[in-house]
Amino acid sequence: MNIDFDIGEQFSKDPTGRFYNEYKGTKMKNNLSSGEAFREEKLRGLLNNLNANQKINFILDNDVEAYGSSFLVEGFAGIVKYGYMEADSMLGKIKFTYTDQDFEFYENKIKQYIKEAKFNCKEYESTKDE
Amino acid sequence: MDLLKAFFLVVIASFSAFVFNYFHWKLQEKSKSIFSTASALKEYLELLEEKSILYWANDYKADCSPTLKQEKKILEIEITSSLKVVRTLTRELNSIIQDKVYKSEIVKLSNFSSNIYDLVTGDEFEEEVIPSDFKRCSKISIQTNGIKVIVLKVMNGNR
Repeated sequence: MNIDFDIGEQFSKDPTGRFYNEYKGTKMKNNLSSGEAFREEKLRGLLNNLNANQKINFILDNDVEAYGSSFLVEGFAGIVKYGYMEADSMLGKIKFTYTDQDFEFYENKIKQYIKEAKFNCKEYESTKDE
Repeated sequence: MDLLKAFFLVVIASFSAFVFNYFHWKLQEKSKSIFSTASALKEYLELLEEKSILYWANDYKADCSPTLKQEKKILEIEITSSLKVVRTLTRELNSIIQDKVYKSEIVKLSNFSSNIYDLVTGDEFEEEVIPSDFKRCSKISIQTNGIKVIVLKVMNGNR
């Protein structure tokens, strides 16, 4: 049985930006709606806990107006870039649903970014200010 | 007999005129629809270009004024919504110009929607600190103006 993950409900209604905090150590606050936060706090755990034939079904448009490519690249393609999972394997484990047909664009972009990402090309270093 | 023949000729002539007018009207309606969609697209391309360039030309520092932070947030909203409208209008325009004459324009319009999204909302978009990026501004301007030329070509062909 697949797992539904409603981004607007279970992560943020306003997913924005790439990093928690590119300038950690300053007075700036962590962005808990960033692509990095999504990947590290939600997506990694979901992917790791999947059974062999399970998929994650992302609900893209419930209370979310739009996504920037900075969020999508860091959030989804970051999984491949930091070597957590290979692109083909990841693409086989995720699917998307939406009622607004415009969100098909974001589905295609997410798939494109995952395919284009180079596996394990960068070591992950958190930008979160603890 | 002559009267019957004349009657049939009149019927055939009327029918032919009706068919001609009908197809002429259909073509005119299609042209009007293409023209109005392309005009709207041109307007939103101009808006997208203006707002995106303003956004990426600014230097948003960690300690920038609350007014600039507010302006930044407003620009992000305007950019996101105008990208959405551009995407919708491009799709709409592509669906009504589906013919051989505009084959290359359809491909260019489809690619543009995807490329401009990557360019405008990529890298540090929506981060707190964003250094000004004039190279990106230049790319945005070149790409949007390039596509405006294509939209104008479509408009001129459907006046």
